[in-house]
Amino acid sequence: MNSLKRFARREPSAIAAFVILTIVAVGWMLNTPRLSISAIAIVIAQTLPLAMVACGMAVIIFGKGIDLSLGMILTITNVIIAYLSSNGMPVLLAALIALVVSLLVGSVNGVLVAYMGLPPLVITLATSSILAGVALYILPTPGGSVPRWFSNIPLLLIGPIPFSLILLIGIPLLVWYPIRRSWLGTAIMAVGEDDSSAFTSGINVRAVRASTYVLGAAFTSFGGMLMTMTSASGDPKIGVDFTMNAIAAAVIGGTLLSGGRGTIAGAVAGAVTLRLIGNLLFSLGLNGYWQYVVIGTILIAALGVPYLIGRARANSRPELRRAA
Amino acid sequence: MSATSTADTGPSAPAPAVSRRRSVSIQTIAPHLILLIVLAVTFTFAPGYRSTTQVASLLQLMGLLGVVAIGQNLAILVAGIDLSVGAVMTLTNLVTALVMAGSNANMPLAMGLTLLIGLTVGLVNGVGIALLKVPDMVMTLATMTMLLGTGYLITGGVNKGNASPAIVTFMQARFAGVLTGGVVLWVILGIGIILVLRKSVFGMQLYAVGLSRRAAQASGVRVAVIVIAIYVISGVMSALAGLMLTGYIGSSYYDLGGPYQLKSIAAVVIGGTSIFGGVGGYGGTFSGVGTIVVLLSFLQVVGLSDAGQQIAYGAVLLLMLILFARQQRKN
Repeated sequence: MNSLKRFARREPSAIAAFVILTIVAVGWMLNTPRLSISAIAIVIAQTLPLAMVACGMAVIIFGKGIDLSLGMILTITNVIIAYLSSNGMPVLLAALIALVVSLLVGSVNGVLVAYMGLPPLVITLATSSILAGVALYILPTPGGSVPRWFSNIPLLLIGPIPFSLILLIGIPLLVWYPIRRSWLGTAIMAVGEDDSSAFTSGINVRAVRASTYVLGAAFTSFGGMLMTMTSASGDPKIGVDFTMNAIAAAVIGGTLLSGGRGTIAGAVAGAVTLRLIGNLLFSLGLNGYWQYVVIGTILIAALGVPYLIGRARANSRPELRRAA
Repeated sequence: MSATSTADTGPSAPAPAVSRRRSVSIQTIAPHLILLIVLAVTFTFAPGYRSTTQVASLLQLMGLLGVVAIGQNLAILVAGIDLSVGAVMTLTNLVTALVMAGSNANMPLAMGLTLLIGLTVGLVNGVGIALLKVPDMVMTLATMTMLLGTGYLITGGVNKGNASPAIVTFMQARFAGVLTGGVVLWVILGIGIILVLRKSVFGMQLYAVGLSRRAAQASGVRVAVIVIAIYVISGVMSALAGLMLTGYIGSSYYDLGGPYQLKSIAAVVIGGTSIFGGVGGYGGTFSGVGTIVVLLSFLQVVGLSDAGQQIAYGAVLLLMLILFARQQRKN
């Protein structure tokens, strides 16, 4: 209880994310006829890929970066698995190869941004264009296939609990929690907060920043694997929406774009919220394209409103303004 | 008042201006050299391009990209970015083709709507960035998503309507051998923006904001006004390019504007404008636009697939960033 209180004080926006998630989830449940465990399992399975990419994006943003190529890293993972698997390679080996390729791409991004000091936005836009081309080379049109047992993984039920729920909580917990508790997690947050004071306290700023891009690519590659399970085939255009939605999920989950602040749990909650908003709009009978408009609005509001509140508070209490 | 003080200090302090010009001299020449090399290679290895028809069609494409690149150039000059330009083009393309319905009588309405889309999107972007302090990238990414969703909602994903004959003639009818109306419009707007950047108070303040927002603010530049104005110009230019696209294509297709997002950034970067803001201008972007268009169609002609083009093009952009950014960083 005490640790929960401390968490709430340190990351108020993560708590806000979970409150929003609860509201949207209840709204979705009330508007969904014939709600069942398997219906919930399907929704979670559909959310999994975005949740993973959102975790990856969040880690990169913690270190004050951004990666617009994550959508394409997901795509590359998807087409590599679908292509190799339909050409007779065991699917797990194909997934491993896809993971290695993704980590390589993440390292290239990391080196270009952290070691050469190039602006992450344009750099990752350029690598994203290269990856889109490579994906089209591997798989010019949607196609390929994976074994049925592989595509059934997210829909498994372990007793009454959907396996997808275990993955949704388990993967971020297993990958990020040990890192966050170690020196690396502290270093990432320190680098995100302030480069030069992190450097003065003996942190290898470049290596730490580069590592966030590799971690982000790893999370995204897991997302690509889960996406391949869900879609059961490859598609060179599959990742287009992911980059924007992952940024939105991270921001809604309380990650500060200025770096150094945020939680992975918030990013997962943000991803589930986005998914449920889409489903809620659908069950309310609105055209699915409304979700683009709604998500864009939420993103601007999530960033703009806290600033306005902060300024209003500073105006009403001048001593705060001086402190800021 | 701030305007006069800046205007006064401008000419009376020539020293920093000179040193800046000297230190970026490689950058100001490089874009034009690159264009010359790309042109030489293309004309040598793809002789078909020497015909006036081919030159005219390259110029048409440059006109489209060039107009979008004006707004993008201004945004990057203040160390910002506008990711919504392609979506603005797409939405304008869909809307104008819909209301034109193949008739000249509907041209004024289509032009009015073009201006409305550009102004609205630009104002929303500018206010979000300058007043709500939403980061440029996320703000324009959000409006981009909203615009694409709106485009779908309006058209349901199928193309409706046709361009008016007038705009088709403007964009496609050739005169003086290789020129079309769209190309002339591009050149006029481009020269206009060069003059604005070099001679006007707005231009000087824009560079000041690009070099350091805090310093500009402290010396009395109204940073928020400049930033909002830049995004409004970018919105209007992108909408104008969308209208031109309708005339160029003759109808509308979903997400025709999409590729212009990356292309416009690439044209500005290859044109030597610093991605860190404050250094560069549209003179280099003229050549950047030319390089992108010629390079892409050359890659197409030598038989490189869509995939190969994307790779080559991403690689060229990456190379340019690595070459330029090291030097730009030093300034």
